[in-house]
Amino acid sequence: MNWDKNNEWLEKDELDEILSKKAREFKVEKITSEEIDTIISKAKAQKRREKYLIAASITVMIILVLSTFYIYKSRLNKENTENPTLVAEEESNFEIIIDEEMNKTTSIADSLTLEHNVDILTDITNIEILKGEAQQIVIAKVIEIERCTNYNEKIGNYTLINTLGNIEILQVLKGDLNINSKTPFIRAGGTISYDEYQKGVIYGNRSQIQGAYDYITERKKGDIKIEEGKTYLMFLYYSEYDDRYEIMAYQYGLREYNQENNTVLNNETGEWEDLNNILN
Amino acid sequence: MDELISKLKNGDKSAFEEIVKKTEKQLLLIAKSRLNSESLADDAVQETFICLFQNAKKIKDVSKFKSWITIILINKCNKLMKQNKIIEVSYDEENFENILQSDDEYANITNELDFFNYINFLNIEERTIISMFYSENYTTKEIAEILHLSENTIKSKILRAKNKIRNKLGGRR
Repeated sequence: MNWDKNNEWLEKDELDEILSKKAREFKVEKITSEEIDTIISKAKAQKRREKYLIAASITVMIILVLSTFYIYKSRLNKENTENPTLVAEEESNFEIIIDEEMNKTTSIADSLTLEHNVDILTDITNIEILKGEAQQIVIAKVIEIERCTNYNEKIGNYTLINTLGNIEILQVLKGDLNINSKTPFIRAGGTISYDEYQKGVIYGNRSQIQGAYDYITERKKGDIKIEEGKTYLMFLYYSEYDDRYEIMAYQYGLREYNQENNTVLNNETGEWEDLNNILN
Repeated sequence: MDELISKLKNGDKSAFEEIVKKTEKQLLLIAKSRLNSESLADDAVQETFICLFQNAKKIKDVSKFKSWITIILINKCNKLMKQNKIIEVSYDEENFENILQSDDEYANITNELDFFNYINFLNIEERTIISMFYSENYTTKEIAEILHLSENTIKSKILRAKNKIRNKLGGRR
């Protein structure tokens, strides 16, 4: 650059000469290759951080959008279920709620739980009556939850949702089942896909549900969920229709067993009770 | 320089090293004039080079590279001033006055003063303009573009700053 030519507007004097000279004399320590490497690695690290930040921001945005969508959809479903179309026959016995617990434990986006108020002639809350009604009373471990279904293959008809699985008999308190034998069971209640449920609605003249759900859970009000791997005191009755033992009496016929102190859980009170006191 | 920048855009490390070596002194002079701190000036220049390495591909007009990197430097200086809560830098006036009041010949005085002694009492804008102008690397037009001022304003500011320096020298020049 021709400095003088560019700056003809300036009447150049001694001060200009001095300032130019002093600026030229300004000395810097020459940058080393190591310092260059440091700059490059810092630049790369910053770039990586920026990328992570962008990715994190996008993720947060997506979560926010999905959450908003989910909340909106849940509200919509709730509004829909406030006035569900129910078949008259069961209308008074149905209560429809969103199963929040199920959402949490299974990450299922949309599910609905139908809780039935069941009127049973037998007083299943009375242990003495239960002991009399049950063909088999056992301590058994749930070794497998096989599936849930609303279709009975033997009778070829749709039913309420049932859970099917296998148990291993650990103690026999009443009946003739063999210790250590494995036997299939059926139990009222369970979760099936919305599509399967709808088939039951169409063919089984069941309650219609408005709103879109992925899964439908059906259980008696107050009943507990049977869990694989747990050991229970079970009251069994052989079901001809299902060709397997039915765990009867909902939360009264299935009570978690604690082997260490020989106690069973009272599903109503939440207290552990001595097995001997229950059965004697 | 154009060729080096083209190489840098393709990720050539040696081109980057060469550009750093060619521009380091210039940028440090401006940064130190603006910040009046050697360590902060070093930081500003290093951050400018980091930015250059990260964004070399974004340089569209290679002929404007000097303006581009100087704007980045000034922004980095401003950021450091903000971070360090620097409103206006102070300078060692006492030392400056002592030198001026000595009985030495003027020639000896000018030998003792460095570039920053001459400009430190100017305001931040004047210091930046003077450092760019007397480094003889920037035309008044380029300085005007970088600082978003008119060329005539730059010229006026140079003359005003010169007068301030002259007055500070107490009529010795």
